[in-house]
Amino acid sequence: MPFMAPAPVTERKTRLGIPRALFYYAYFPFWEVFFSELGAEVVVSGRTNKKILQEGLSVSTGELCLPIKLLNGHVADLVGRCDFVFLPYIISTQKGSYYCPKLIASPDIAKAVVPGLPLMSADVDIDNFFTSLFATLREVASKLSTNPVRIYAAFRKALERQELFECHIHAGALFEEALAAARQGRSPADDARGPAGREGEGPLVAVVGHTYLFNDPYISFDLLHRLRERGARVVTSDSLSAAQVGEEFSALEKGTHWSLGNRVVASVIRFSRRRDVGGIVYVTPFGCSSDSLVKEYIDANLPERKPLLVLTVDEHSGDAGVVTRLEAFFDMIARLPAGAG
Amino acid sequence: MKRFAFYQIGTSAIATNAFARRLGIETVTLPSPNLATIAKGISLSPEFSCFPFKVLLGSLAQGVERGADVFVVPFGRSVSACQLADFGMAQKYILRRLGHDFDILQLNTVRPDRVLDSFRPHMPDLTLMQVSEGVLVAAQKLLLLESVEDHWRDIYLVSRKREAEAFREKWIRAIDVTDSILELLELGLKMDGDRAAHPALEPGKLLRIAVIGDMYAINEKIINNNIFERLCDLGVYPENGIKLRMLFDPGLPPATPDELSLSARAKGYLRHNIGGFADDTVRSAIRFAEEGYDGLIHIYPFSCMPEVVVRSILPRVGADLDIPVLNLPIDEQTGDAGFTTRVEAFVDLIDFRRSR
Ligand code: SF4
Repeated sequence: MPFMAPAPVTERKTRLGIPRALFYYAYFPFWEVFFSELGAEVVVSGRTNKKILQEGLSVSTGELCLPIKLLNGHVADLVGRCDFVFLPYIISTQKGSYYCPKLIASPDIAKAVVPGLPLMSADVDIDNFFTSLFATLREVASKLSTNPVRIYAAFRKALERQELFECHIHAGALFEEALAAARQGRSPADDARGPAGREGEGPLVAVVGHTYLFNDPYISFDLLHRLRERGARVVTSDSLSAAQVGEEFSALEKGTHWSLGNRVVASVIRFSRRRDVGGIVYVTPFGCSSDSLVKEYIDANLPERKPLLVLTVDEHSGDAGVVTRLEAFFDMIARLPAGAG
Repeated sequence: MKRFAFYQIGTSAIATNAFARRLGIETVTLPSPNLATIAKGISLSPEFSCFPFKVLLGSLAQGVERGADVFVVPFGRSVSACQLADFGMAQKYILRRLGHDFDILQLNTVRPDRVLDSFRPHMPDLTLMQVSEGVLVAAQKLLLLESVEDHWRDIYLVSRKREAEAFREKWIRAIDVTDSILELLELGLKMDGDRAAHPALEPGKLLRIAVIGDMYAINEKIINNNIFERLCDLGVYPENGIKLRMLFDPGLPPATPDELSLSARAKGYLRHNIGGFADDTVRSAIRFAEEGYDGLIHIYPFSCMPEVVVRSILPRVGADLDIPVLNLPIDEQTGDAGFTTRVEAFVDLIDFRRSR
């Protein structure tokens, strides 16, 4: 930042950047509260747009998958705008299953390809995301506050927000809805309309895949909203709790190694059993090798077939073809009587 | 009696066959991967699985056709957090759909008691003694086979291809037929003597390149387009940075100050173990750069997740330590011509750098 005036030593808040990518869609409610409670100003990178995507593509090596390239774009978007960019190393949030190597090392990749990145990080490698997280976070927090009581208070508040957010998610709300509801302190029971996205008469479509893919409208062809516009009710693989994922897997010979892969497999199996689900859309990033084996699991373990649409996403996939396929798929399940399939 | 087949990488079958003989188990020998193996593997595999997955599936299929009931997968520690963790299961599903059934036995350690536990369900009478001896002989052979490759390179560079090949063939045969621990020790000494009969090599005078990356790609010629021989042909001294023995390296924590500092520096680039041989690759990149090697060739299967991460990080390592890096992703379509051109251009580049 050669032209930036030196930061005034006065009361300016530390600006902490959070890229709108990857784990943002899972844990942002927590980070937002935690860091603002510690006195930081939380800056989120812009919504994915052409510029961010292009930037991500230009700094990344070709072999990386789209979600990581996109992360690099979001990180670059923050550089120069904040004092730190927060990007955790998330290895495992559940016993026995891991995130894919690219996800685990995503801060290392960002550091290597985005020059001048003021990275701030924490290691998250625990059986349960919330139990020993405090210990991990103390170190990060020490850059913002030295008062342990304040850190602990921020941690508790952040946990509460995250839990509330997850209640909404498990009740079937989509990311933005759950985030807004949690920020307002509403509980799912307060929602007179019932769980978001369930209202209406249209067929119920299950969207299955990695949360950071289908929750980003720019790279997922605005899938969720397109479905709703056509009158569908939408439920996603995010809505399964960790326990429900585990349940499905205890019935299988052996889980895959991957947290995200397991969730995909478990959701497909679970949604296939549900009579009210009319069809399943599976969104997968092009070249995601962990997902390629996931398909073997699905094929081997699927009890009853539901109409299944597989959408592969990459930086070149044009909207037009996808929209046509989606419409055809939608028309097909809309014609099926409810409960069939 | 059940028939076993061992996954193989490079010449590893020589070691695993000796192990099997010690245990008295009946083996089905898999052909070393050839074009037919690869074609079969590709036709059965999911498109985006990595090249080694496809090759291994191909040889599994050849194995079941030959009547194997149990596949032994000696993947060692590489199994953590890599597609390999799902290999066994996925391959089983795939072949089951074709009507084949078999067991998979994964060996993640060479500790004889653990190995015994893994084999017991198939062979109740096995003793710890047999297993210990088997492991020892196999390990001895593996190390000897590695020295054969080193000697082969040295002879290749000073003498001629024919002599190097003759040396390799002779000693690989000898290692294969010698099963006694003492005789193997003696064999090692004799082999070193034989090597000393050839003119000595001064690696310092040659361009030196370390080949790092994925274990399977580096140690299987058919996958790596015979990279070591090509480098020798170009007059370059190649070093294998990811040797087979690392499959079973117990992974002791770094102890000496040097090791500690190396691993700390490596962690600055790649903080966590992400499986496969990613951390070994980063560590050896730093080590070879500091030992004054002229270049690094990073070779890896196209969709290998840990190595794709390393691929993004190595340019930074190379820039920081001032060593050129060539990335060579390989898959079943890696054409011969493009591959050779890239390697040659890289050698020209480092030659030019050195002459400055
Ligand atoms: S899980 Fe797949 S999409 Fe996500 S980071 Fe890993 S390879 Fe990329």
